[in-house]
Amino acid sequence: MKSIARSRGADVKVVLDSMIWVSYCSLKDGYRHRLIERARVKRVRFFVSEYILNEVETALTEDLELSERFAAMARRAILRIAKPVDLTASSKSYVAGDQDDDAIVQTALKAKADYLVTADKEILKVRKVEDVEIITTQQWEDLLPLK
Amino acid sequence: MVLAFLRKELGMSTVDEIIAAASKLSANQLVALRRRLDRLEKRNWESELTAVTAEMKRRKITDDEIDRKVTRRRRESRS
Repeated sequence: MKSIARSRGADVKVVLDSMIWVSYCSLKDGYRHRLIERARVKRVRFFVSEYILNEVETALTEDLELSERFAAMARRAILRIAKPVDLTASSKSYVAGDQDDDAIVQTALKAKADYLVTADKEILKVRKVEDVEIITTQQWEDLLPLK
Repeated sequence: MVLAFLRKELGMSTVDEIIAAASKLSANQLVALRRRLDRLEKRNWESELTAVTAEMKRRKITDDEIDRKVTRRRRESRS
């Protein structure tokens, strides 16, 4: 795996799956929120797609029963951190367990990301697609330098 | 005074009033306005996030619980 602090100085590109953003937007002093803030200091570049943003909004309003106003604010908060990428229709399938999860993987491919960070077991099973490594938050934390 | 007139006579909302006023600004003033609005939005977000975090703690929502909810929705909506 590539260290987040690359010797050649290039920023590492990361796509976070929806549940990571949901945690970021609902648990301010939580593990994931602190991890993302730490990564921002380390100049990690985040990318997000409309698909992920919609899933985050749905989870906040329907699963966590938060207001639509808060979900809209969360979307804007994410977009202050992550650069949006457009997904084009693709017939290629990456996730055998649930092919509809392909949009998450496609986001990472479109962003030419180094890592896709997820807690979805079906997506984690894929492990690597082209140059994108699919890892857990714990693995991601291990890659982030402490200082 | 103009804004009070617009509000009273034309029934303009506060947002309409702000937009009407902003449309008269120069490019530099617009950039300055946007910066200040961005700062205001970030402060509001931090405040809302603090309140939601307290609410999530009260409801004992954890990262694991969020993972379960998101992945369950994925599987259910696609089965």
